[in-house]
Amino acid sequence: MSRADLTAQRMADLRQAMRTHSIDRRAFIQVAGAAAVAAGLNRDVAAAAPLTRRPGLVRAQASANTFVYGSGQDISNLDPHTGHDYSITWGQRAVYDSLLRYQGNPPELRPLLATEVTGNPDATEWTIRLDERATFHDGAKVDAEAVRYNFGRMLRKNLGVAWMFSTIMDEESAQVVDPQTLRVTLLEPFAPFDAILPWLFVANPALVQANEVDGDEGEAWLQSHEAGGGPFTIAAWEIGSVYEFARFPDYWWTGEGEAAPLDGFVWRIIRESSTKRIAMETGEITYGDTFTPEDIEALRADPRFVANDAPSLSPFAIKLNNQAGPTADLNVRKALAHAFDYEAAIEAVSGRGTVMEGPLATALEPWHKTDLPVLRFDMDAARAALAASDFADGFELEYVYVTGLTAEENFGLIWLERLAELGITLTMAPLVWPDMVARASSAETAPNAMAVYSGTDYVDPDNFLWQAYHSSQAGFWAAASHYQNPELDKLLEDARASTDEARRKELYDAAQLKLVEDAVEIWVYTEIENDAWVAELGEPYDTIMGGDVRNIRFQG
Amino acid sequence: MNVAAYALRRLLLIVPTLLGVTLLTFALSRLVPGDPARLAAGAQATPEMYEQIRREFGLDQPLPAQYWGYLTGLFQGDWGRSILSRRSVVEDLQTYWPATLELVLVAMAIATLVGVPLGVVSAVRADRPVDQASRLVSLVGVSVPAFWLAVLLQLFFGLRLGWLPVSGRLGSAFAAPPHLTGLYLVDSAAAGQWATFGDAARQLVLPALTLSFPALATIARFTRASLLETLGQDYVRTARAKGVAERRVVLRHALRNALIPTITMIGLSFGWSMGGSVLVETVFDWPGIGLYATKSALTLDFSPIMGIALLYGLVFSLINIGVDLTYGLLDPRIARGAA
Repeated sequence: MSRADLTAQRMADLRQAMRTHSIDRRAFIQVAGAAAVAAGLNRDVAAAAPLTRRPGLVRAQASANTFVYGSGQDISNLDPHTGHDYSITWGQRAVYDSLLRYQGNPPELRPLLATEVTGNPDATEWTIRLDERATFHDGAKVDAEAVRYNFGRMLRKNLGVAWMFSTIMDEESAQVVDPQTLRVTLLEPFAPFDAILPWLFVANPALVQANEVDGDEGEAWLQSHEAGGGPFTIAAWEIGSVYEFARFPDYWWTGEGEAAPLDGFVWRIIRESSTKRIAMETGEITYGDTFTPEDIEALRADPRFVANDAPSLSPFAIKLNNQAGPTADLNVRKALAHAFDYEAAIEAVSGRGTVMEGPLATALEPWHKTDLPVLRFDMDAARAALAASDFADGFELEYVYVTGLTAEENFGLIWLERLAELGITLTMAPLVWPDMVARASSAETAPNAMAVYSGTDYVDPDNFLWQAYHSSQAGFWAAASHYQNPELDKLLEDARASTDEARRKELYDAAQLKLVEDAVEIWVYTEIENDAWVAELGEPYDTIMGGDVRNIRFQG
Repeated sequence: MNVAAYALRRLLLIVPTLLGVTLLTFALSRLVPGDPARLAAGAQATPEMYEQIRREFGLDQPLPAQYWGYLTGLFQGDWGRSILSRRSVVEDLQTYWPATLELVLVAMAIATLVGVPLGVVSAVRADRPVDQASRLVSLVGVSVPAFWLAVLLQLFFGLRLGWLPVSGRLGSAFAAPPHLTGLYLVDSAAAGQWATFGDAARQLVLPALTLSFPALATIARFTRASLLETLGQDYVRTARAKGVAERRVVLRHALRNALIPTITMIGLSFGWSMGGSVLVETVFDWPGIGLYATKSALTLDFSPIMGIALLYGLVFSLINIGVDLTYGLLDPRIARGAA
């Protein structure tokens, strides 16, 4: 008997022993020996045996048309209605279709399942026409009843993106007009309703119901399975490690552009920036995110890669407590804003940011108001403002930021030096994020100053202004400034109630001006994401929580 | 009391130990500031969404009721659900634990198989160049930060030489073997998937080496010190006087007795390696429990935190029992004492 045969015999014995749960010490030693022999024989055996591949494995095809994303963030839940974050969104967009979709930077709304979405003038009634070609992966039609079911499931679950819909809709709001038409009657006016429709991912009701356990509407099953009609299906699902999607060959949507659509999409969990950079250089991944400034610059210097220079819409701001402590004084807030060195902050993030000129990102066109009287770095103005306040002799200011987030720490250090010139003692208080959320929950416990990065869910000023400044939002971290102003509330509510773009622009201009005049917080910068990708990829970056794999093509 | 009865008694004592672990982790997790429901609900969640999550995860209940609910769930095999991913903790532990166990087992095998001989050689050749070199390795081993060593190994063996993969548990062309134990080496061998076995072994090399280095250094130092002391004992001098071969004196007479503190150290190192795997798992993207623990702790995800503490408590208890029983194998007097 050859050594290889002996090994095979030993392993057969092991399998039998494991099946019968009868492994004794002698058998274990034999198996260990066989394993050691096998390791030595690995090359020979590997050459002789067929490679083990996942069914439908997309990476193994070594296709130049497979998009491999390296990210530190897990796709922890693929359910179309309960999961919602950056990485989950990439997965959801791969396997589900939504009514509308975003494309480009700045992002534009484009049709997907819906060919047409129209609202009445007061933004309370919306009509949605569906594409007749749309199907799920099992061939079933995506009709108005399926969309109505998905609105209902999302509202019943009341998780994930439901916050965008639950204040303006209930389960009766969506009604089927005919198989291709839906009418949605909102509980209150909401002009950017079409802007949130890319967040309703549509699952196949029959498949969801077939996998229901104890009335969970398929929730447990949908965490790691799909019931969609999107461009990809799941090829492999290894929790915490790698998620693979293979192109669905009969995808109904024909797409845009001339390049061939992707063969596959792989999401690999790579947490360390240096490891991600090595993976880029060795060709293991084609796109990586959250690199350190050093790594992103090294990739930029390599002609094989493109470093992302596109501005995001997501602001970083230092939230000042408008209700309690010295920051409740308008002149103190003005002094603090004047004492912040914005250009130094941009340098602290290696230039990967754009200084904000008001509460909205400058890239959010046409909504950003360009001529706002923003408070710039000016120590003389800071001294004057402080002198006019009730705290002219100085005070102690607590600055809370996320533990270990170097950029936020550096901003504090930059500020600390300038504030010392004013007689203000800055106390740097690093906290873990849950503690910061807890501190922000009331005006009494909210810190004087709190560093906050906000995300972009839909491309409308409502996304940024309502969550941070409308009185109803006080208590949530995005509204850690606890700003309460009925006048501003009215502006934001009126803007929600009009589909007239010019009218909305007027209202949002007034709101921005009001916020700047009240120096509600320190608007520092909008990020340029630390992403990089291989040069053959065409425009993979999308400002709306990552990207849409539908829009990604390899060039040439 | 025979050894089996002693082992059974020790196993039964695990139950109150683990109850203590649950009480402690429950109390600590509730004492820290922060509200996991608010975090899970998201920035823009409505008050209704927030309250719904609190109800769903029992966070609106009084603390004694929460703890009682947790305990009764445990006895029914329900270790709770993650408030963030909404997955079952038991399923998550089944997913992540085998990866960590495999990594730690291989690392400890390396540490023991290299550390003990290194310590023996060092003791036998005390103060000679080989001893100096061995002590230098030990010193470096306990001094070098794991993340630094990990990145160095990645750059050299992964990027410069291209010999070994730098991240993940399997290479891109390989599927996970059919699930049997969750240990890819065992499962792939059992399935006869030798190519997968080889790839899993290659993937293990760098993280296991990194993780093994501090344990290897400690084991070598303990073995050296203990063997040096034993070699000075009267019975060793007697054995030499009787003309027993030096190799036999060292390996049969002295080493067996000298191994008792080393065994203790191997047991402790196993525990330290489980804790230390967090950094190694991060750098090598090893989908193990260390990363799961870190993520859960940072997000105040109570159920996974308590599940991990319970699992680690169980593993530590079993290791301690294993170490105690091994003493008896090495020194029959200890076994008789236990009896």
